[in-house]
Amino acid sequence: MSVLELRKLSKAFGGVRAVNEVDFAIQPGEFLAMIGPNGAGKSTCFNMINGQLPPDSGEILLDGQNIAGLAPRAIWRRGVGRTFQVAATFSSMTVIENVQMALLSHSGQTYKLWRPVAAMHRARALDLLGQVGMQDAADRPSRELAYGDVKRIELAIALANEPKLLLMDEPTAGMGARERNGLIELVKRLVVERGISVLFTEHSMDVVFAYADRIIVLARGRVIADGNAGDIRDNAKVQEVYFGTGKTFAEQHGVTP
Amino acid sequence: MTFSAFLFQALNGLSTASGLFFIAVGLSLIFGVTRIINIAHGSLYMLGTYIAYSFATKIGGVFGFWGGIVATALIVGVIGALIEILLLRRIYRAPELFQLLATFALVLVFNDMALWIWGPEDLLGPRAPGLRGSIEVLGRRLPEYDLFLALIGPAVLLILHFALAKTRFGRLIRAATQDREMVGALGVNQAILFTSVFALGAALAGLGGALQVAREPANLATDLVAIGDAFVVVVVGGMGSISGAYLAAVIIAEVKALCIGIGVVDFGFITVNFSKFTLVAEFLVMAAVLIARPYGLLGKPQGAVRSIAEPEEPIRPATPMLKMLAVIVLAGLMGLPLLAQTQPYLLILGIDVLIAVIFATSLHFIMGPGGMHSFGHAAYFGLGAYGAALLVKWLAVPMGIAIAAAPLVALAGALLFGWFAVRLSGVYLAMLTLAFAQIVWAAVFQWEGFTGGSNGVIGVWPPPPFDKAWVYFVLTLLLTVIAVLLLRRFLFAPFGYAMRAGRDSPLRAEAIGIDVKRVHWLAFAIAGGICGIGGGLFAFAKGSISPETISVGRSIDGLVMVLLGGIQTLTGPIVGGSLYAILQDTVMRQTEYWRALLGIIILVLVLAFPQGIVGAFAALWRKRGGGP
Ligand SMILES: Nc1ncnc2c1ncn2[C@@H]1O[C@H](COP(=O)(O)OP(=O)(O)O)[C@@H](O)[C@H]1O
Ligand SMILES: [Mg+2]
Repeated sequence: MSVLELRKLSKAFGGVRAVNEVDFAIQPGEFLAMIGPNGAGKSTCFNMINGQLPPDSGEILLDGQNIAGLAPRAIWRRGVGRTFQVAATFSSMTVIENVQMALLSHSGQTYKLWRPVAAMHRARALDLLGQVGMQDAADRPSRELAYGDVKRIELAIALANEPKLLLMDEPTAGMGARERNGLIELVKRLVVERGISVLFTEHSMDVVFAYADRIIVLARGRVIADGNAGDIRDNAKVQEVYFGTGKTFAEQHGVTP
Repeated sequence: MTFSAFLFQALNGLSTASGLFFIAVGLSLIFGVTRIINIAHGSLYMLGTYIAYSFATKIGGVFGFWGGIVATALIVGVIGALIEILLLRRIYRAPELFQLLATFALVLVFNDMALWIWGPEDLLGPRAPGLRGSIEVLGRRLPEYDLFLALIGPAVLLILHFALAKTRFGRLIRAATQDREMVGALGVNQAILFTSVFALGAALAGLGGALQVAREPANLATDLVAIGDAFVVVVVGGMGSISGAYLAAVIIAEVKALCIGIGVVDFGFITVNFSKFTLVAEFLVMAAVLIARPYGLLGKPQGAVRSIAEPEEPIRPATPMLKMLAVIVLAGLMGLPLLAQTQPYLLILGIDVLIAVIFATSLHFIMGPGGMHSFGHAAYFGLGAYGAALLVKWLAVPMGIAIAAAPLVALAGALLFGWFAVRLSGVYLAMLTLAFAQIVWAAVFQWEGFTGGSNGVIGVWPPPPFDKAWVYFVLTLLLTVIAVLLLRRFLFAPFGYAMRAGRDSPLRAEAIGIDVKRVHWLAFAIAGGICGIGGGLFAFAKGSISPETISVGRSIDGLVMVLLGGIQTLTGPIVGGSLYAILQDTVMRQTEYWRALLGIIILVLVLAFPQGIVGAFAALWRKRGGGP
């Protein structure tokens, strides 16, 4: 069975149909890229899947159960982790406290009033930071980090509840090419090691074509293509959306935005 | 009640509604455009009544009365423009808390100014020339002036509505209200727009106050009552919506009129006087509206108004040096009773300081780490104080039980009010908490049979051995230390972290399973409960309490304490609370006009350190090459 399946998912803002009857599914352990021009509705899709926005209509099946309209925290408890397009961490906390907070919430200890946080889940948090290569920064204030590092912390936070599905909205936005490849490689490794399914959006075609198991193309709120790198590269509709007619991905190679 | 009597009350309610509308509409307009909550709006209303009184009595006649009302509106409009130009223009970029504080400082200054010019007595103006009579409606006599009031509200609403829809100025106001970015794009026009809107809003408040001159006496307490009412109306009607303001004013006034109309009802087993519940009814209306529509009846959801928090350091356990300092201070305080022989007053001041520390620390708990700027923390202080005092008065319970019950009463109140408050954020939360505090104040004030009304509760003295000042001081010290350490403990525990998580990034917090509203609600309740300890101690320390215990002034004192000490450090409120209590005791009592003095001190602080006092010191520290 698919980990996640969207059925005719729709959302409009005023007159704008941001997401229009979108259907697709993710299999266990799949590394699925969602691409599309700005304003295609990618973030809106993510926001509906993680519960931040209620869909107007359609179903979101997580392991066969409809989660459409549930609160973000309820969906998180069912094993969906998320990173944001604009990275969001707790700026008044240290790096490790950010991860500890997620672990505390995962183990249902949010309302504990007595034991100091400092000693709780520290080993596990260090372990998660190690996995994203941020162990050395554990006790630094998170607001001092470079943006790329904040994205890694977000990833460690998102992994805290051992999710079966990870949603990553533009995880590499604002990163240089090397850092970008590093992060995606890291995520890909996690997918393979832990069997997590990942849905991510990404502007760099190099990255998408190199790492994604499958690619979905969204334009104006609709899915216009769904397939592997080869299918997408050769798809006429996709080329039209991205470059207007006449150009191809081959010509664009290396000068991606 | 007969149907005609019912209709008559409804008609009467419309004249009250006009009054509420005038108070609220200017506040709403000003907020819509400038995003500043002008707490001094109630003061402008109050000044309106006083100025119109002077016109009506000094000049007199038709011209003095009616001409005076128009002149009053213009004068108050000019005062509004001056406030904008001289004060607010300098602090548009300051944290919103400072803006609120600045306008509150004006409340203090205006209040003492009115005291100085017009004296402390209530002043009732003459009846309106030309509208002295009454007409018969449904077999009852309705004063013509009330009818006039009932009509002028909707008339002004219509005029405003067309002015906003048809004129260039009106279009600018609407554009600015709807789209913040727009205002920046206005460039030079922005200054003019802001000043005019302030003048217009102020003039409307002045007009509203002036129109009351023939109906109600000018009174020095009007400013805070009016701002409390205005907040309720604006929250119910929706920020920035003038039609919403009128709609809300009508609903609230009608519900109040209905309560008065129903009057005393005998249910057989119990007799209820509904006219005592006008203020509670107001609260219920607001509660119902906020549940159904968090942004008011005609308001639109606003973007996050929570101010962008200054970057904050992670909290760290106390350093050895801080621990040492705490021990020294405690030892010093324990030694204070030894001085009691020669300087008995020192202990009284010591008790005041400790109670202030409880008050400030509990407020800081939700304001700093929780990011909830409560403008009504006095409510929980008052609930604690009254809870303890009334238990002694009616049930003659021993002091121990009364002081133990104080935080529970406050906790119950904070649970109730907090549930609503955490649904809002930023200035909305500030207004709502202030409105709640006003409601507690009014309930205590109105429910004379139970609370003693304005006389308060007297004879709440501690029994031996606590009647000795030094013993009571030691008890206060003990409870203060417990309260402060408890709050500190909570902050270092998962709950405190969850609270800060919800403040730092509600989005991220929800995305990792934290129920931010629930966490903040419980934090609000805890802060209220702890504050109640201070209230209970206060009641026995003074031996008597009055509604003044719950006044807006006390809520604001708390804000000043927290800001004085620094909102971003955990020791800040302890220092700020102590400092402020000592200041108030020594300096402020020197003059009858201490309110104005305090207001001026706040204004100077705000204008001198628009980035916040702590920010200023931190900057200084960095410049000197000190640590981070
Ligand atoms: N909260 C919102 N209110 C109104 N319109 C929105 C909102 N969020 C997104 N949109 C609109 O929906 C469309 C899709 O946006 P988005 O999902 O952010 O696209 P993407 O992430 O693919 O760039 C855009 O036209 C955008 O302007
Ligand atoms: Mg996006």
